[in-house]
Amino acid sequence: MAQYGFFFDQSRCIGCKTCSIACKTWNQIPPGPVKYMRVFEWEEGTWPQVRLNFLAIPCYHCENPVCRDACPAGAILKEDKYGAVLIDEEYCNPSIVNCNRACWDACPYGSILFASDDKSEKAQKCTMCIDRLEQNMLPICVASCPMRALDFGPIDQLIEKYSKKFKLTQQLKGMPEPDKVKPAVIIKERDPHRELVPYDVKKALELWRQRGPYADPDLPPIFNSELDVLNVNGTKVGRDKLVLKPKNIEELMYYTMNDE
Amino acid sequence: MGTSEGKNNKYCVMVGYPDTYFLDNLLGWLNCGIQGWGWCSFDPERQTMHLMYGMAMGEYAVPPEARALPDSAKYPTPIEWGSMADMLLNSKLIILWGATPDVHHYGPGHNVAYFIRLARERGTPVIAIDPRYSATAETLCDQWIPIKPGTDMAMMCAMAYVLFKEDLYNHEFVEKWVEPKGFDMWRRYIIGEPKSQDNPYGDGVPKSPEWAEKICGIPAETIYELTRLYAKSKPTFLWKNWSVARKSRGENVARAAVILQSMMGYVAMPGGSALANPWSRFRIEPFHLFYTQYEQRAQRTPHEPNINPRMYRSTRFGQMLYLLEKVERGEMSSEEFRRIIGWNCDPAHPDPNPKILFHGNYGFRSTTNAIVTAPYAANHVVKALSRLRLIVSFASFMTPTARFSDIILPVLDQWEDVQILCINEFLQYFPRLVPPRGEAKHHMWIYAKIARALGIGPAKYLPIYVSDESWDQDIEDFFDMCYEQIKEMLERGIEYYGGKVDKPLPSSEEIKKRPIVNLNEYFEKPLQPCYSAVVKGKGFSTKSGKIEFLCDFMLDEKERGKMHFDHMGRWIAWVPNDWRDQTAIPTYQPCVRGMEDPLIKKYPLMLLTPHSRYRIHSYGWQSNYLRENYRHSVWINVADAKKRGINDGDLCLVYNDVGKAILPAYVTSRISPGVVIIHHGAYYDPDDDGVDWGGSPSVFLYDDKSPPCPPTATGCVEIEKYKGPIKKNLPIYCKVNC
Repeated sequence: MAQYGFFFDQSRCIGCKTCSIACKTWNQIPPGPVKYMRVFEWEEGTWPQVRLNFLAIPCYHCENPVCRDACPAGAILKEDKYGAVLIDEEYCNPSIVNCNRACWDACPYGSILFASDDKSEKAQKCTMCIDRLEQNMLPICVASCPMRALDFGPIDQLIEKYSKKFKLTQQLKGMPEPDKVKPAVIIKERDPHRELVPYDVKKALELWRQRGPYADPDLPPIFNSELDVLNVNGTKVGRDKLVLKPKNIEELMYYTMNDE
Repeated sequence: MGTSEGKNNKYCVMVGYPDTYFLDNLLGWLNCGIQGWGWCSFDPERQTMHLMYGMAMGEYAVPPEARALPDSAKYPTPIEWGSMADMLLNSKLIILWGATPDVHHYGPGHNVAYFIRLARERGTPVIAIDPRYSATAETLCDQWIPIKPGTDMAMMCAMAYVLFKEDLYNHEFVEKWVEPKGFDMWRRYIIGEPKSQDNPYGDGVPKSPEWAEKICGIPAETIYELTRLYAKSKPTFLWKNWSVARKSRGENVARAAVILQSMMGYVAMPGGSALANPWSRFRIEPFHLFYTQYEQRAQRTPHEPNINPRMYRSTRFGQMLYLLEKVERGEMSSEEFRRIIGWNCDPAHPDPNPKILFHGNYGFRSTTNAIVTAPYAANHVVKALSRLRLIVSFASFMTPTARFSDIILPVLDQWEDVQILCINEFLQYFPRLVPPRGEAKHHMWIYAKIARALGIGPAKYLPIYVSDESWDQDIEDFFDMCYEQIKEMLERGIEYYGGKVDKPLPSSEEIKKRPIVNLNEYFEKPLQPCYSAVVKGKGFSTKSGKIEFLCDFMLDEKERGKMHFDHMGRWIAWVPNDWRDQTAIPTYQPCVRGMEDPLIKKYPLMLLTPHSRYRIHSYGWQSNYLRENYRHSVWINVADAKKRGINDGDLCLVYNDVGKAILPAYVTSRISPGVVIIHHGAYYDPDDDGVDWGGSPSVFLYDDKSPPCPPTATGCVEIEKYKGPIKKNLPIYCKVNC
């Protein structure tokens, strides 16, 4: 059985969500939480030593699809030609089977999606653009990426192609352990930053604390102590972690939106 | 417009923006219009181009033939700024100063971010200087250096200081291509000589990194080392984005960036940048082909180069109306009024008396949304609109600007019409993607109909309209004709710039099948900025033939209040009659309504209003396919949020002396402390108390003190948690707070 899969270059991703929008357009999915391709963005560190993480994540069409195994109705199948994991809409009847979203529970990546929080809602997921593959086209997310951060093909060939160039992983920080499900994905992690010119953080914080010499002396400082900036505890920061499996629609929208 | 109110009543029809050739000419025939001057974010750079490179660009000051012919004898410096691909191949260092190529014009739809990323992957160092940690800083850059917004000029002064002190600048280039008097004045100012005849802005303070660090928040050692790296990296692609100059007194920084690149000679090296814009040499749009007969246009005052007088900075069109009432009530002098709105026409004109406001399509296909996108105190604007008898808008969407209109003329959206553009070395044909909705019509069709209703026949105005029946065919023929002319121009241009037209450009039939032509393919040598001036040796079209750091008329108080023309008699369209406190060489002047302004006591956060990735200005705001990807919010640093008890997702009231808006907070360490961001282009949706529930930052922007060339896009605000009732529908997904 063939296994196709994705390559994701985190170091190229700008979190623009073009892949996600293109996916919705191709698959004619209305605006809302059914995002086959989800783009997560989360920050780390404190000003001015902050970093951003991006993750564009479709379904990884696992070699061992635990969602399929979990479905009591047998509505999920893994087809042979590409190894795509697909849902047969006709057999997915949560209101009859009363499955309580067993597939969603099983999938560690949150790749099963629902149009609402209503438990009778049918499961939906990324199709690997199997309709496009049949027409010799790449999946729309891959084809649309303006940063060329995605690639697609037989997973062994992708590994062959990219392992020579990069150190690859299947598990970014915050992602689940891949061994059990065997996801068809390889990831190149984001780059370390280089300090091209020296930058004294301690001094920068003190310079930023004060208003400039052209300001009236009675203007308040920008902040009182560097701890105001460095200590983020006690305040809820926006998207400071990766949440692959948001617990409801509202949370899903929150974690798959940015503020750009 | 056809009544006694309009016809031949010179100052009665006002236009928010300038230069829609159709509307301009139409009002010219009637002799009744007044217009704004200045075009967009890029205006401080346009001013810089004229003052420093001698390049009068666009508008009526340059006849169409000068734009078409790159080497016309009279205007020898066309637009030529190098290309993105050359940056990739030839730049030794890339500095993205306030530039976020992951967004907007350069965003996902273009390849610029990708090219920079590739350059970095091949080892070119990339540095971001920006108050926020953007996706650009993360993905495209090696290092992020946060700078206090509005203090970029101090940083540039300090870089120049290091170049002088350590003698790192390019003497050969400066000797050959920089006008010496201005260079000397700049040197004296930077080194810190006391005030003298040769150093009129001297204050005796060396503009050293030690001086600058306290202003801009970047440690002196960093400035020294960055400047050394910059001087060593020949050439550096310095991309100072428009945003940096879209602040009070932004003229300084627009010019200083060119000064730095000129001191190093990078303005004229492949892989360097001439800085007005990272766009390339070929920027030909077919607008000029739509001109109507010039010689017959309406009477003008002597030396007035415009059909309709440019009485106000375009972005201050609403402020003009608002302040006019103050003048009429005797609360403001006419002189003060003219200074603030940026009077830029014959001083002999009386104050305007607008009765009709006509929002045309302003050169672009579809529409305008000036209340949201012209960044001036939207509440003032809306209040002032009530003095008008009639407001007419072209619109493709029910924008806030259309909502505040009496008559809406439905105009084709860009996707409903064909278009040809040549930008960034790409000749592009845009096909019609969807049929026009409802009664939407081509803008030229609408103008032609209005003209005919006013008795201006086809012989005088837009002869291409013959009849409704033949319109579709006529406009297609017209398009083909325009395209053939563009093609000829481009072929001439390619030869001129050292390329070879070894394969003909596609015909008007072929371009429709092959809609993108990469003009890079016609060149063997890299494209580079200042090609004709430096490589061909033709010199710049300034008085000295060199790059001029000094704008000498600004040293002459007798010039204040007059219109300004250059040595060739071209109108300097981007310097108003009164340049206020703009200095003849760029100097550091604290930003009005910036981080050093006394207003900080009341409104302690400096507001920035960059473009969103998911809109072009306000275009796209209504698309739920885009809106589901972002939350329109106010960015606030953790320190500032903590002080105010604000958590991420909390609904907040943002306010200052000219506006109020409700938005959810995005609490993050990605924005520098003391700085907040609301993205430009949200639809203005005020409640009865004038509180904007759409979250449009245009309600906060106002500046009556600075020189009016830069369309100020910053201000000071305060933020508090909103505890009141929800009075309007919030934008979708706004309430999310997990």
